[in-house]
Amino acid sequence: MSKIQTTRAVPSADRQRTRLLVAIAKLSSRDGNLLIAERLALAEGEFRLAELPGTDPVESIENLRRAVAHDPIHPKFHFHLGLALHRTGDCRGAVFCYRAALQLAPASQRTLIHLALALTELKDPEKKLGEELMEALCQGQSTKELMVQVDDALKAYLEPPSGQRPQAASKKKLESASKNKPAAALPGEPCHWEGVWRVSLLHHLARFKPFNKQIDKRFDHFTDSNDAINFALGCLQLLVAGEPVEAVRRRMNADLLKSHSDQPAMQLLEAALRVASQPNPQSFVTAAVEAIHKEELPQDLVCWLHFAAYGSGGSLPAGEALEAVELYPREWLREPSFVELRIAILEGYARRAWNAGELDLARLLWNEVLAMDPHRTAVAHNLALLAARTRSVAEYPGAWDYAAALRYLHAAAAGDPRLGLEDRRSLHLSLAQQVKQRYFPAKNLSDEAQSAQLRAWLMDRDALDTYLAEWDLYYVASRLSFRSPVHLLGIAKDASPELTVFARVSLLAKIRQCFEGLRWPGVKTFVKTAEDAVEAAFEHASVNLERARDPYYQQEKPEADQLIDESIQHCSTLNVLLIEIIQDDVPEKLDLALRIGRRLFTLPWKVLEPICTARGQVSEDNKTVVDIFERHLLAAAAGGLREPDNDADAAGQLEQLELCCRLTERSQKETSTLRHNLAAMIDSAAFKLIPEDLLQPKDLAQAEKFLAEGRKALEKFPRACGLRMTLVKLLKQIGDPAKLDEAVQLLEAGRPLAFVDEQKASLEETLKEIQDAVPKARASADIRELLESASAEMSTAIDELNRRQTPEAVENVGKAATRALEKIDRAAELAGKSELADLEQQASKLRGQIAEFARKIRER
Amino acid sequence: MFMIDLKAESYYSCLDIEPTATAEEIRAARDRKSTEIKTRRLATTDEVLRHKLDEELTEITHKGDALARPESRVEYDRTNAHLRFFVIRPAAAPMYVEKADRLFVLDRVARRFLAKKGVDVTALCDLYRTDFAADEEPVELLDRLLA
Repeated sequence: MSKIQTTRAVPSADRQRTRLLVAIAKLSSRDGNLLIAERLALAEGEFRLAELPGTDPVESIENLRRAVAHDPIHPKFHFHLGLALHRTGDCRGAVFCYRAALQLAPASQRTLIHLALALTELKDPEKKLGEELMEALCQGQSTKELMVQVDDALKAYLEPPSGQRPQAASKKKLESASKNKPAAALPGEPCHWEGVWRVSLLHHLARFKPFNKQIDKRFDHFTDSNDAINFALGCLQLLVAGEPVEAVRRRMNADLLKSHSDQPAMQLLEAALRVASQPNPQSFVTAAVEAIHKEELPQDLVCWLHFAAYGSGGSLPAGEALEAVELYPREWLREPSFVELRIAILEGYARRAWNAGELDLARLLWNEVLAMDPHRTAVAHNLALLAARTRSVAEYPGAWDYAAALRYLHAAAAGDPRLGLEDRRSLHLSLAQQVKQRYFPAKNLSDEAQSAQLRAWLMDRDALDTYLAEWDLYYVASRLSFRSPVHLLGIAKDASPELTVFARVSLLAKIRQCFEGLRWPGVKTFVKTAEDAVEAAFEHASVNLERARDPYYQQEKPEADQLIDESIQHCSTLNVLLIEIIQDDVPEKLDLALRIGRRLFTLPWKVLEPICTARGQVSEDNKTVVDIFERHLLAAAAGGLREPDNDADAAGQLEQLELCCRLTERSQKETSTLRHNLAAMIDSAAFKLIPEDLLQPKDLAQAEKFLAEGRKALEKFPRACGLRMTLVKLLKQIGDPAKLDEAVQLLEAGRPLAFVDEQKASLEETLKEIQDAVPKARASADIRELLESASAEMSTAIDELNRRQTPEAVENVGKAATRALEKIDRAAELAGKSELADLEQQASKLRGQIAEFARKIRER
Repeated sequence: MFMIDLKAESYYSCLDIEPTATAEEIRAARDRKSTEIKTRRLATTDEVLRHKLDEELTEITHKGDALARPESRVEYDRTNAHLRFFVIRPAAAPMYVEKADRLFVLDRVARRFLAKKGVDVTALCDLYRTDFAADEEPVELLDRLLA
């Protein structure tokens, strides 16, 4: 039957939702100002949509916010918005809404009791105020004075003195305030809203030491109003609150219950008492199983009664307590109620073991809980602390990683980056603070001691990385914790559109930086949900009307200001570390500078810089904090540059340097100098590989040796652009085409490796020069070859003639001269074309000599 | 490897109290410690020791006062978040940990159980209700569109 009802209810709610959405769309479709009737209809529509069964709580809050915006003078909407916030745990937000509803309907006892409930969920003094308010409602006392205190508390939230929590108003202040202000709430008559008795009974029982007189009063009220159900339930709650069975039975002697002994509530109470009074675990389980089978008791109640009797607070050893749970039917043990009972027992004994220093037992029991529920963050947290307490190097990293990962996994699974956010914020802040407290020197230390401590921090790379990463995660978590879009983005309420865009981009980049490389399950989903939250905030912050309406702006301003202060303080810590890198002899300065710089410069400086400047945080030469940080980062990086050991080392340094340069956008000149310095260091390392006596070759042989050694050095340091250019110059000087080809190859190989602008330009220029010179050199070589060949041919013919003075030899000389002249003519032509005047002249001279010789031979 | 230190010294540890201690507990601890130091000071004639005890007394008073004053305690706790964070947590369901949670949860359980048996039980308060049809009001324009 119930199944049929459920299946019928769902489509009905869906149909109703669709109809409401269509109606709302129709009402909002009209351009321009809406009529009052339309606004009222829209408000009611949004309200009904919010209260439909199955509406997502977040969606419901949004619907109710819109209802309040359409009709801000109907108390119902404020009240229900308060309820919705209250249910999601935003008790402070709920207090504001209930108060708004009470201002419109001051006599609403229903609203007052919920206001009291929300206040009791907060800390003192609001908690105390809530309890007093509830008590006043039960007693039928005037709540006027208490409402003045509530108003004071709310006002203090809006305008907190230097970010402090509000204090309870003094009596004097209260009296004067109540004289000046109009009556806020009740006319001072007993509360008609019956719920107040039920709720206040639970609140009294929940106290560490309940006031019996007050509890009696509630039971008297139930008796007076002949409310047997709530009387019986009250007795049951007494049992749950830890009253002995006999004490509860004594109260049951009331006439009211005697006359209602057939009431199911009475039967429930009787069954609970029967089970609770069993003398040992075996009989307890037997009675409990029977009660559940007979549907006399709900499972959850049985589980609590079991825990109260035979849980970790009792005298049973852990093993026996767990065995007692095993006595329940096996199929029940998989039910959530019994799983939770088992976990509660295991976990309770684990904490007992922790307190007694029995850490192995604690570990075993917590691991047992994790096996039952691997996603229980508190257990992962406890195991991480256990690893820290035992100083277990093997367990520590995994345990902390898992504890952090689980916290993000829950938020990712819920699709809500705000889920468990405070816990994550505390985790990251705690870790960052503990690193800082261990290493950051106290102000009263001497300069040397301060420097030594900072040096120790820089040397403990793991501690430094932990601090940098955890602080950034804390920053991102803090930003995401804001409900006000402008505070989430970290901008002022009147920030320009450009600055809003910048803040969005900057925060998104920070989020990505924080989570890059993390291999936690669900981390990508978390990043996506966090990015969505940033985008949603950006969307809201981009609309001026939304900014003006921002209900959280004032409320969250102190926290937003505090986060800015913390960010600036964090940057100043990082700056101190950079100065230490500059001043002290710490290894791997470049790497350290980059690690710090990457975190430092990804903060929203366009937002923070003007704040720092307005606070007078500028240097003597009027440089802003960003200028100072850039200067220090580059100086720290410069200190880390050194002659590389090999090309991989050079490439590594260059990569880090380039990353540093990219971070410091304003210091173009300085970054250029650093690149020059690194280039010079690489060259120096390369030149050191060449024997000193070859560095200035005096002849071709020495030049060849230099080239050979230079090639080897360049192979080891391909980025040594200076050496490359020296080799090229030498090759060019030798000038033969093969050498020129090699020079071209060297230059082309050096092109992608050059990282200094001047080097690049010089390479290009020389390459062009040599490429231009190559055809001439080739032509020159060809001409020389032709001329040499012509001379050689003539020499051979003349030698032959000198050996044998025969007509045949004479004829051969003539023929050789003809061939030589042809070659010389070709050479002369080539020289003419290539504009090689000296070779042309040389050819002409040789031609003249051969022609003269040939003429003489012919005459002979 | 960087490891957190659960035994790191704090104002709380100097006073031998938990970071969750109430203002009264803090004041009591401060006074107890001060009295101990004063007693030891009276019992000795060693000037060096007396001077050391004077310093100890100043330190305990300073730390106790800093924690006893709500504003400075908030500030101290804010800059020492780990003191409250690095503590063992109850991992059982809230019902097994907090009395108030237990009372509210089991009240709901009992009411739901009785409702299934046909007993007309009202919810403890509106926070636990889901049906607010009674709060709906007729609005002519909307109802016309919904009809």
